[in-house]
Amino acid sequence: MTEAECRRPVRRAGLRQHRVTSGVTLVEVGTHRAHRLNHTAAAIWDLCDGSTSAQEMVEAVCDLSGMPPDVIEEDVAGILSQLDREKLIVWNEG
Amino acid sequence: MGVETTARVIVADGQSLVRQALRIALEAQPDLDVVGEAHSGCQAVAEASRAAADIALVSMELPRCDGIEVALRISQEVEHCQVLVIGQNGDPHHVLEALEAGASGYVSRDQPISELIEALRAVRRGETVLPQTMLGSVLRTLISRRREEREAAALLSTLSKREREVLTLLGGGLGHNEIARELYISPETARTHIKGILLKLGVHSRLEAAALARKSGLAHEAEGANA
Repeated sequence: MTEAECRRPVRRAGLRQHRVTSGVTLVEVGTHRAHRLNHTAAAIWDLCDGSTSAQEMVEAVCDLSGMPPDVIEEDVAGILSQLDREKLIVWNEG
Repeated sequence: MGVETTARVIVADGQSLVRQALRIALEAQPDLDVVGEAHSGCQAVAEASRAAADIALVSMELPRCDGIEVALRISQEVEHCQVLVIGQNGDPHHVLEALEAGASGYVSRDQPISELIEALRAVRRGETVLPQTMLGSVLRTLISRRREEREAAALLSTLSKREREVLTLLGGGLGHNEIARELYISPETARTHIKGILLKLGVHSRLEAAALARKSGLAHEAEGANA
């Protein structure tokens, strides 16, 4: 298993979740800064429980959509990197 | 350039009021044509075939054979007909069962009619459709199911070839006497193998062992080999 496959994202603490028609809005407790996620990004964020690896997320989306793994890998990596940039997740190593 | 043709749709629901409402809403669309209605699962399969439907819009809670069974039968028996299942929101297992049975999508009764119409068009384009709000729970269910399958497969890999054969037969509902006859061994030997299997798998009953075999796909392998 590669180092990347061992890393498991975790939802950052201190975020309040509000379901909206277009997806989910995450509001930072304290600063009230809001982050809007569409349904797909919200579903990936929801899977960030510290025990699910990015690889497992890719496999599940592939199973569900029937899309090729390379396309899905890119999409999931893109979403996780966006969540990381906005500090909505942290990473568990291994 | 592709030519868009009208999609031939059949509507299957146990309630005539629902069928009529769906017919009115769908026929208002220039690219959807309702070519049949069904009030039961069996009738849905027959109508989809008779009307050469492109899409069967099928209620999950149909009398006699439910939406999942209809999806399975249509995908096996009616060529080029896609199935879109309508069900209650909230149960990701139902969504997965429907997709695994061959449905192209699942819409919730809570969704507005505009989303149902878009879902029909998406299914027609060959896409997989499910309620956006259920995406997370469906993925989570899928991941947990895959984990269980992997764990079961890892446990099963500790069994010997003979024990796997015994477990496969056990999964097919055979008792130790029948297993003994099938494998040309004594009933006592079959019983010993079964005890060994339960011990290695860490389960307490034949039923649990058989369930584990099914989870890992071992039972399906056996069905395939026997087919």
